[in-house]
This record gives sequence, structure tokens and C-alpha cells, in this order.
Amino acid sequence: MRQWVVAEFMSRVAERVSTAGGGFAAQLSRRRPEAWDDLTVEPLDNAFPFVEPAPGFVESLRAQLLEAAVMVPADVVATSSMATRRALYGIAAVGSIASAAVIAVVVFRSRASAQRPAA
Amino acid sequence: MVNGEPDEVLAVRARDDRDVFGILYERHVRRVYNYVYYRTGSAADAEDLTARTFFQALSNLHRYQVQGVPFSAWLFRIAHNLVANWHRDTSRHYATSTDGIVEVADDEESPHDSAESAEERRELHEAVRRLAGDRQQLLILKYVEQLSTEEISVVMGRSEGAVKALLHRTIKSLRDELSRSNLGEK
Repeated sequence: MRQWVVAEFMSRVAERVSTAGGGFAAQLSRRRPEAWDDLTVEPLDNAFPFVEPAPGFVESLRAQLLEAAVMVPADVVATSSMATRRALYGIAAVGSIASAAVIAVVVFRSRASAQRPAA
Repeated sequence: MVNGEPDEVLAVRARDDRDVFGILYERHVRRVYNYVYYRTGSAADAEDLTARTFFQALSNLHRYQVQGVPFSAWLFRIAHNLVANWHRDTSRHYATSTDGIVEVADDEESPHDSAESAEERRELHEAVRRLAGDRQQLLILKYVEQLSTEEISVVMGRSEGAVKALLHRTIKSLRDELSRSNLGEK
């Protein structure tokens, strides 16, 4: 009895899933993305007339752009300053390691001479 | 023969030749101005931001990658960022401007028809104004600037699929808005 109930339930679920699947597929096919571009509100094409800039502005800006000094790109500046900074950090690191090594040698020698028994 | 060459080729040459940049400027200045005008609502701000767009383009030409991105989309992307900063700095609510636009009347239209179409246009502008900022921008890029979906996706920094989906939702909400206002009048 219980097995029959379970089987019927599963059959209903399967039926619903397959029906729902078909519905989703139908919905998706209606909403194909490539079709969305065709959706238009006709008056929109004419709703926003082209607004021309003042001729004086166009000429003046053109002259400014043609005469503007060549600008150094910001990222080039950033790259070069970063490279300089890295070189300085490198030199500082090497200097630190070298001075630490010198100190270590001095300490080691002084300890070695202190531990050496007097002849 | 420089005049006949595509933008992308000129953009590379313009890195070393300012006159070539002048040709690119002539090709795009009016569209950029028009776009900025509709997004700021002021001729003075449109001039200012258009000038900044081209100066920024000039100083960043070396960053422009020819492959993949149309030059016009790259230029509109600069304008888009400047307008976004302008809105943030001035804390102004996003609004599509229709002020100061000269209404072009059709010669064959009767005065009654002309008044009716002007009224329809006004309603449409009002409905567009009520849309969210990104939706207004999308409509301007699509219907004013006539950019392709690919170009719009570059300008808005979204995938083409996302742009199409947003356009679909925008037009649907615009239709709903218009039919709601029509029902309200009746």
C-alpha cells in the first residue's frame, strides 16, 4: 500500500517536473536574447533630436587640442617612479645585509679571540 | 587618404601625429557633446565635459587597445566616467534633459496633429525621466547615439547579454509607464 502511494507520488512529481520544464523552455524561447534588440518603442527614435554644439566651441576646442603640450602619460610616470623606488629599496636591502654580515664577522672574531686560551 | 581610414587605425597614428587626432576629434565631437548634453541637461556642462573627454582621450591614447574595442566606444566610456563623476561631485539627481531642445515640426502636420505629437513626446520624456539612471543612459546610447549593443556594453561595462536584458526590461517598464499615464488621463 505504502509502495503504491510512493509510486503515485513520484509519478505526479515526474509529470509536474516535465510540464514545468516545457513551460520554462517555452518561456526561454520567447525570451531569446537576440530578439530583444528588435523590441522598440517607435517614438523613441524621434524623441531625442540631435543637439549640435556651438560652432565656436567646436573650433576653439579643436585649436586647444592641437596646440596642447604633449602630456606625459600618468602610468608612464607611475612606472618610472615605481622602478626608481624599487632600485632604491634594492640598494637599501643589499646595504643592510652587507652591514649585518660585517657586524656578524666582527662579533664572531671578538668572541673567538676571547675564548682562545692565553698562550 | 587619412580621412577614409577607420578610427582604430587613426587612433594608433594619432599617438604621434596631433593632426590625425584632430580628424578623430572632428568625427566624434558632436556625438560626444550630444551624449553629454542629454546626460547633464546643460549646454555649459556639456561643453566642459566634452572638452575634458577629448583631453583625457589625448593623454590616454597609448592605453587604447585596437583589438576588440571600437574607438567610439572607448571615447564614450571616457565621457561616461566623467559624467558619472560630475553627477557624484555635484550630487545632482540623474535626469535626462529635454530643456532647450527646439521642437521640429513636420511641415505636413496639421496644427492639431503637431500639438498632439508634441504632447506625446512630452509624455515620453517624462516617462524616461522617471526611469533609473542606468536605464536612461541606455536609451540615450541606443536611440540618440545609435550605438551598437557591443559598443554600449563597452561604455556601460556590462556584457552584451546584460545590455540586451536591460534594454528589454527598460522598454517594458517604459511601455508600462506610458500606458499607466494614458490610463490616468482617461
